[in-house]
Amino acid sequence: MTNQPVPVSGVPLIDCDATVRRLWDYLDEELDTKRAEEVAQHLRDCAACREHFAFADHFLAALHQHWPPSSAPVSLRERVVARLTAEGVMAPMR
Amino acid sequence: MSADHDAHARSFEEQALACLPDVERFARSLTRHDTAAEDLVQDTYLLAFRGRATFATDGNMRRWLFSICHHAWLRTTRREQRVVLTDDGAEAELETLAAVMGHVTAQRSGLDRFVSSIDVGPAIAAAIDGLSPHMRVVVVLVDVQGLGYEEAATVLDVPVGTVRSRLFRARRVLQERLFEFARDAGFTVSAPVADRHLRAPAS
Repeated sequence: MTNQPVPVSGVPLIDCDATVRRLWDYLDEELDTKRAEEVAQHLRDCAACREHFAFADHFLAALHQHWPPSSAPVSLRERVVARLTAEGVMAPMR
Repeated sequence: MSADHDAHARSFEEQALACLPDVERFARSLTRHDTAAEDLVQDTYLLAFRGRATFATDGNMRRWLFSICHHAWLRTTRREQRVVLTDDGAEAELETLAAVMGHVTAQRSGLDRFVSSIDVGPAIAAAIDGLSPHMRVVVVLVDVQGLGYEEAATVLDVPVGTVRSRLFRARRVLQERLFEFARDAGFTVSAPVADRHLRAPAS
């Protein structure tokens, strides 16, 4: 564990354990402002945690980037519209 | 029919159809089958248009359609498995720690480079494909479609804690599978990196 850094910004200090427990919540922007700033403050001071977070961030980016894009063909939209029209829940396209 | 009503109807239709690629993608993640996904998309839109009165004009159309799609899928597959209804935050926390420990292991074996490599796409697709439907759907909603935990919980009709624990568990499983792919792909072991500051998760 790293030593507790000296507070300089007024932000409450948290240690490495507390920081990594918030890893996904932080990267997903699910933390409230105060808790997110506590993590950010720790990351500024702790190179090891920065590495963990960077790795997790790359992992999430890879997930997002490499997920297969929609393969919905134009014809699917046409078939959906045709069915909606046939079922009487959509007026024919003008 | 009044011009206002007509314009309102057209606006709804345009908004809904604009979401079709995302709904198709979501449906495909649920069914993992092109034909079944198209059937699910068709059913989703039919249900949505029939129930358009329940859509708030200032609501989130994409989220609303995802919710309809998910419920339609549950009905057709008879997989109403609302077993995990507790706010299992403690489990999610352990999964978070496990993810960090996974990174330490990856560093030691040199596998962390794999995640940033350009060839990781097929491995990610295969790893996601291997997830259970309940984990896969959360990954798709949050990591691919960009929904927040609350939004995903609304779509799936489960507590936020369930979304968190499923999501974190799914990410850990994905990381483990990617590491397996990396080993198979010949990403060789490099010099160990000292485990300089992390403790194992408390049991």
